[in-house]
Amino acid sequence: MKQIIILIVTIQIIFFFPLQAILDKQNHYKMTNATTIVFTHAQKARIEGRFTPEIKTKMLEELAKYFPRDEIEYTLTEIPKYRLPHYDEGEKIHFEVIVPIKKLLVLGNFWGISNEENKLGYKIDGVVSSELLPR
Amino acid sequence: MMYIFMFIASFIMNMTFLIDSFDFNAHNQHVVHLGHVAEETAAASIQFIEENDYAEGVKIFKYEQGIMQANAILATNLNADIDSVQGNWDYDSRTYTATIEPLAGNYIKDTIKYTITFFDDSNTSYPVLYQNGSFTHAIGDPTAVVIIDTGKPRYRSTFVPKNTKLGAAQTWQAR
Repeated sequence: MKQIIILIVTIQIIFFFPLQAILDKQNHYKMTNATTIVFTHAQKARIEGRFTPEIKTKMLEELAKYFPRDEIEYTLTEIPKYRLPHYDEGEKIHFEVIVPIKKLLVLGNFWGISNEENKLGYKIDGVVSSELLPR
Repeated sequence: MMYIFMFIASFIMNMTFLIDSFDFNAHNQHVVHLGHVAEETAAASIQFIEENDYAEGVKIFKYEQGIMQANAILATNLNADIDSVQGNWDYDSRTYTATIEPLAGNYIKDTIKYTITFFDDSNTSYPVLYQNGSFTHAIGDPTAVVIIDTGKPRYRSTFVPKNTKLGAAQTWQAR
């Protein structure tokens, strides 16, 4: 019995390292993709002067390939911003998107880490200038 | 006793591998983000053009306005303190060189250095080949080139790579 318990614990420790390396890769892959998706759609928003409902929906669809859609939080500039002939602090398009990373550490329960503590909201926020000319 | 030493050695080796792998991934993620920020900063710096000169067919940027816009975009996107910007404008080379301090909680730990170089009808006979380190760009129209250096990446191992430095260029197009 003692040997079985030691075997189980040893296997968990041995498997932790490769599994954690794989999980890290997956998480970083998702986070990098999320960054690229958000900035790509920010480019589209620059043309329109804001995040239109179509751009927002398309961005969420793309993000939903990697994250549960109903858990993605976002704050986006939805009123038009313009490219004026001079600098204006207010005429910029803001975006803030938070995507959920559900698991940071493999075998979390084995190490005594609850599911609540073992997750992260990865924030992608920024600001871009508008290309929309005032009518 | 030997088993204990083997276990400790194996543990240290595995942890080193894991930490270095994590740092590598985080750095890659930072480079991708920095690329987007460099593009946005370059786009921001060419937003404004001298209308009177343009009416005569000459394309010259409003440098001061473009730099203000670029500073604001770069500071927000890199989570840096806009009030800490220390810039120096050299009119002859149309180059703005500046530093900015990252805010707390940032991936970047060193002072961020960046340059914005303008190429327009006031100082350029096109085409021009711009080269800075590994960044090379062929310039055929009024363009701003941004080079951002965010200093040493956050590697905890001893094999720390060189500074993270990225460039981007944006060309002004008439509409």
